Amino acid sequence: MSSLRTIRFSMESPIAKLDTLQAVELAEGVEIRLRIAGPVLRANAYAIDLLIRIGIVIVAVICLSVAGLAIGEQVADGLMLLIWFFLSWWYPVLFEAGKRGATPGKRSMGLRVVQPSGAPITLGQSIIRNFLRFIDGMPAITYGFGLASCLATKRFQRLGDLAAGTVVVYDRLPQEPSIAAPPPMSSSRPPVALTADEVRALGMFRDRAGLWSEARRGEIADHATVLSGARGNAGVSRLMSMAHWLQEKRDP
Amino acid sequence: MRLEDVTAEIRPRSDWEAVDLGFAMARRSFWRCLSVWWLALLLPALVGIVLLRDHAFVFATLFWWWRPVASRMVLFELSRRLFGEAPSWRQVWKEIPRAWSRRFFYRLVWSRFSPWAPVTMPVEDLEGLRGQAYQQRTKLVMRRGEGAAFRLSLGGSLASVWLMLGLLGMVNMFLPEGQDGIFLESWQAVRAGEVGGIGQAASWILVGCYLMALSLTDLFVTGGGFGIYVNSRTWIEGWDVELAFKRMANRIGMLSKLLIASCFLLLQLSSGAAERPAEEVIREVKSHPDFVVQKMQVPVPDTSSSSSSSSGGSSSGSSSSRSSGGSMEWLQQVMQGFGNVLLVVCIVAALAFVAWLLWNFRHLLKDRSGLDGGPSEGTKARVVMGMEVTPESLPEDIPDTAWRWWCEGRRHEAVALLYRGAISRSIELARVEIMESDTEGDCLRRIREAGSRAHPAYFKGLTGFWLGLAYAKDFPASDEVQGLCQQWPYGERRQA
Repeated sequence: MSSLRTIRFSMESPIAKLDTLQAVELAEGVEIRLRIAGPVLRANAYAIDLLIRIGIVIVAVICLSVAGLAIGEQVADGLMLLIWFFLSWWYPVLFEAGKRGATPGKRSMGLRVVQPSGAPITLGQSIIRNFLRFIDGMPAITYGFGLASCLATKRFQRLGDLAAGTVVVYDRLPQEPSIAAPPPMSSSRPPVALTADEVRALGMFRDRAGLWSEARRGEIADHATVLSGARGNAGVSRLMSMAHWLQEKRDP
Repeated sequence: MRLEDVTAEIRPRSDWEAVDLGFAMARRSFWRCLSVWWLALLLPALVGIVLLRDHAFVFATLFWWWRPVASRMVLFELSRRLFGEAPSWRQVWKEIPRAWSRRFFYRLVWSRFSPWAPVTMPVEDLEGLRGQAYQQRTKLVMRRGEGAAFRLSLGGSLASVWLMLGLLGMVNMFLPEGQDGIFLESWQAVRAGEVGGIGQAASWILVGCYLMALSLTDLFVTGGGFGIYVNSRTWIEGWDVELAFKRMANRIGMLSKLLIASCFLLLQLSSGAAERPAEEVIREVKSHPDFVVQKMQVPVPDTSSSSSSSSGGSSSGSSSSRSSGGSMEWLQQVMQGFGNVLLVVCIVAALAFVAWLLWNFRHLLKDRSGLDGGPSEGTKARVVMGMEVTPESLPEDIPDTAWRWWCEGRRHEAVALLYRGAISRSIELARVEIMESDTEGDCLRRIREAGSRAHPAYFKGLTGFWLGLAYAKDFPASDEVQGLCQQWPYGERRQA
């Protein structure tokens, strides 16, 4: 569960900036942020689910046509219809109400259905959400309504999501590339007390410095001259040693 | 481009989150983008419709071919809006010819089928790079999110056809019973293998649906590509770190300015206070017996007369020199006295400054945990348990207001106000240190620790009522609330 939440340390900015996160304040006053998922991966997940279901149907048809010789043609047809009904209406409902909160397709795309508070959805919500696929799928079966609703709402909710009060979030934190610069020779204490946000920025500066060109590194470090008291390369190495001091402290 | 003015949250994201941000940007200015998209292709479209009225599919193909021009205009709009500008219609109008002419051959012929267009277009349009530099730059930018860009543009093309079918389905749904003759005829013609047999009305409806679908999907695909581009630059250029450093520089800069200003103020204050005493001190020093001019008659021993003339000369010279030396000495004394005073003032100011520094950075001396960013002790809690507790957010007379609300039937609000007010007053008047993360129990404990000035007994009773109401919907009796209002111990004591 912890993987889908990023705990927020930064201070509230005065102007609300555009973002794709859903902030949730927990009872302990801690704020977590859900990373809401947009339509592209969800369409992919749907396509995978569709393929899985088609595969099951094909296997079922083959089995039943063989079994049909024994149990009778009409019984086999009836069973086939039952399987089709179950797959098209109950397959997503049961998977999403389950422990993982995701159909196999969603799971393979790293998605999960949750309530806006981050809690797992209930069976009732799952039923509403998935039975409304009929409406979302209109016109015809093109999912035009669902797509339009998804792109028009802030939390990328299709109509079924809106009705059930659910959101689809990214469940996995992707591997973030970080090429840290070589460890600095010294570690020094920052001259002033830093806020959590700034400590994090220094850590990020150190961890990601390997991704930047040397000139760019100097450019970024020049913005923190107040802290380092030096420009250019000297500033970079001072910031590095401060970051080192801060990180050393955190993981002894 | 000023990074500080950015109107979206800049943070390193995963590829698909970046696409989602792009979608959100397109959604934020959806109507504007849609009109700009159509505006870019308006003139050619009008001309095309007139000239090619019998060849709807040729027109659709041409229109599809021109699509990058419209994407460019959407990109123009989105990129300006990301950095807090809102381009006027005139600017948009002026940009359209440029969108048509800029690298026409490359964008509209050579790389018209490039599936990475949503990401390479920003490199070309916003950075204005050409040739070798452009190639290198696109390679660098696409190190992140290349796959996402590819799938995005491919998915976009699919979605535009798919949406067209959807729109057609919708048109069909709204047609009255038995009026879908033109569609049936077209369908039969297609099945018979004659595409030319599709009626003109049907083909124009088809083309119209496609163009609508194309504009809608292209809007979001362009936005998504721009999102990937912004995210990629955030990664490779550390935009978020730069922004964080700028914020830090602002904060520390403010701090040091404050420091210097207060230093100046202190100096000025102390020197101003010392101005008058300085003169008094000088007078005092001067009145010291050491400064009294002592006169003493000394009998001059008889010397040789030969030196009288010279001595006379020398005596006159010496007297003149002595008088001037006296004035110099006096000045020196004065200066010295003044210097002493200044020294004292400076020492006092320096001591005050050191004391101020120690006080301000006391957490550094106490232990290293001050760097963990816990709430500084000087700040007061503004929101406790989701309730605002600043004095500005509360009415002047809390018990009166609460009782009035209770009588009006706003009972939940009334009790909430009492509780909120009690916390606020404890912070303000009794100086209880309540943290924003405190629970009801924490508040009660802190108020108890603060002693009688925070009225713990009253607060305990109030907390009991509040807990019952908040968690069990258990309303207190009317006279209990009246009692609470009447016994309000914080400052304003009124008859409820």
